[in-house]
Amino acid sequence: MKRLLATLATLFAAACDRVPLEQPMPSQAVVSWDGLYLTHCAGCHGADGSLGAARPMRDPAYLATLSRDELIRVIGRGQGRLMPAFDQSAGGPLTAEEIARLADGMRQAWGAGGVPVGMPWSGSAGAAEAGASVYAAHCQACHGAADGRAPGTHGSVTDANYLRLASDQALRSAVLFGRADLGAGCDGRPNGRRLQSQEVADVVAFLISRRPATGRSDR
Amino acid sequence: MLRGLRAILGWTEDRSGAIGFVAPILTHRVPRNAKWWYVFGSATLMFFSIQLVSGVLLATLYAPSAADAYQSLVYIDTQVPMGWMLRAIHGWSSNAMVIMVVVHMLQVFLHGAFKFPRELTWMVGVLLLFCTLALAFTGQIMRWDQDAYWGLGIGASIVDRVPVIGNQLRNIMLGGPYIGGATLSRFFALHVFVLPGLTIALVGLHIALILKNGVSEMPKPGEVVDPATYRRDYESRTHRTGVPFWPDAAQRDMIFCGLALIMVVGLAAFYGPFGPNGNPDPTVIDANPRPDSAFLWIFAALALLPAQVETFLLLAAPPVIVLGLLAVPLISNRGERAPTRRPVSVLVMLVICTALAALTWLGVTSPWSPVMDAWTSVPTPVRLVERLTPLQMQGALVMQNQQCRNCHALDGTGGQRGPDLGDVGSRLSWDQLVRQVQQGGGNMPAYGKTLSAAETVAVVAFLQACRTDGQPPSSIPGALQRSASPDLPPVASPVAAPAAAP
Repeated sequence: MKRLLATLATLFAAACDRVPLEQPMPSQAVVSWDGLYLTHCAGCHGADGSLGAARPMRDPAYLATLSRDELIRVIGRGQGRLMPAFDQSAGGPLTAEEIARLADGMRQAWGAGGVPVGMPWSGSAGAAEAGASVYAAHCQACHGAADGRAPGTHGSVTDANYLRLASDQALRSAVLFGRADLGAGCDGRPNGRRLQSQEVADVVAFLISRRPATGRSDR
Repeated sequence: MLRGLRAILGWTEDRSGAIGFVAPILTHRVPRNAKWWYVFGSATLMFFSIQLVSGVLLATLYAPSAADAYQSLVYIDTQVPMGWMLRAIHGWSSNAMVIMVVVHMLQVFLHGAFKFPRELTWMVGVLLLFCTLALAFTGQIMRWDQDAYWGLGIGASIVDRVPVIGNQLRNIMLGGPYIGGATLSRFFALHVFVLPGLTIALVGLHIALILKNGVSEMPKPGEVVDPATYRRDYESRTHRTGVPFWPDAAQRDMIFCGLALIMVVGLAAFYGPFGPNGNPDPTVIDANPRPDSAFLWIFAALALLPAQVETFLLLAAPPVIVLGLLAVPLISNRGERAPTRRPVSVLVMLVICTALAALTWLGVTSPWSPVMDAWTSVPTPVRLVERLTPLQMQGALVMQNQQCRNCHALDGTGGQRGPDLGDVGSRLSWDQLVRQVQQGGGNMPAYGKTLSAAETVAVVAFLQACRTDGQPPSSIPGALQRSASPDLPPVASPVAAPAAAP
């Protein structure tokens, strides 16, 4: 018994220098950009940057068109009602440094080789009347007639409730970049070509004009 | 030198009688066969002593005010040399004390050691169990973090349900109608003065009773307790075959206590202190508070109680448990002590232990708790995204944004608090979905005032698209259907526009 105790005591004494008797310090663990993405973005933008309910971030053309500052601003300050602000100064969970790391990570991993679409990511809306004919020519085949008589194969984008929820910028981004992750024909190139800058502005203006003016706005 | 020391000792002994008091206690005879089964009570006492010492040290550093408590813990953890270790030892030793009390109690119950003449020893032990649990609970409050805040909230809402005087009791408990500075002061007084004082007094009484009635022998089948003859037989047996407590039994206690202490210090060093987990801010809703391990089973039981019997059981169970435990030696204080001859007692003990273990396990895993970061980290299943219309896609976003996913899974991913909504479109009609979203029910909050009309329509359109492949949307036979045209006003019992293929 005494020998056993002596052995145990010796073993314990020998183990003492392995005990991590260190002062824990309040530290902000550095999380890689993809860790941040999986925790804070994947819920809406998809597990690997695509096929989420919100627009895909794994979209080289989108990341090439959107500037770094604009991307950081959208992450930090939010966009419309459905993209929340993630900056701590706006009540979100991320520091400015984390947001920058996240933006840079996405641009490097998913934006490589992206060709800008040749027009600014954001812009003012054009003429709604002209947009109506752009819509009829380029959008109606998939999204149905604007008057709702023919629903289209990909669901209406002139639905009043949809338009109440989609921000102006979300409409412009949808026209510019589409949802290439959802399959062929959804890449923002109706009839095989990208719309001209004025056409984009006009069709966005047309969609905005379809948004009901009365009632509570959700944008 | 030695002679001087001896003179001082003799003088002190002459005036105080301390050695004369302690010596018989140390050398009192205990049964020879009282071996390793009997070490748990001593270990409990050792952990209580550690709690006293570490608690006094912590009290010199802790600021018992609502404004400063949390920060003072952070200060102890990060600024005071080895302060974190002090907190860790206090926390781990508290858990060890609870475990040792329970193990000690189980051993006493299993061996029938509560029977004549040790009924009162058991009853005082039961009071000590509740003192220990009360110390653990009030200790958790001292952390003054989210766990403390919500633990108090639950405690207060239980007290609030007491008929007639519920409100007054809650005010006494919290020091007012709300959790605030007065609450912490009250619990600090309880944790630091009242409960330790009471525990010390009860420990003294417990030990005095043990010395008076002697340590029970190991039970033997056929050796029955008869109050008429027990004392005489016990005394003659221990006189004949017993051994002095010091050093025979005490050395086993010391070895076990030493090993238990090494384990606690090791756990404290490796795993560090408990909490503090987040500021006690009621506006922070992404909190996932849970009680310390000793109370996890209550946490689980409360979560699983059917709503109809909740209040009754919440109020009836505590007195039943307390009185039941106190009454154990009154129910049976004679006869067989050996577990093999007391199958009903052993079975009851096993059922209670299994239930507690199962509830504690459920408390640890808690499938009913929301997953607080699911809304940003758990994506909508791709099979659904691929067939959603733009409106339904917005609905999926509203689902994420309103944190519905924290409680609701889709195809098994997300919170498990509410039902999985992966096939809800084939279970609930449009009208039923609208009603559920707007009015809530069945533990779900009402979102009627949170969501705009457009958001409600979008969410419901999305939910109706949540179906397994080939399943039609749920609808009421004969009811009108929603027009496929989005520009026409919805009519009674609408059905969402058919989902489009990508």
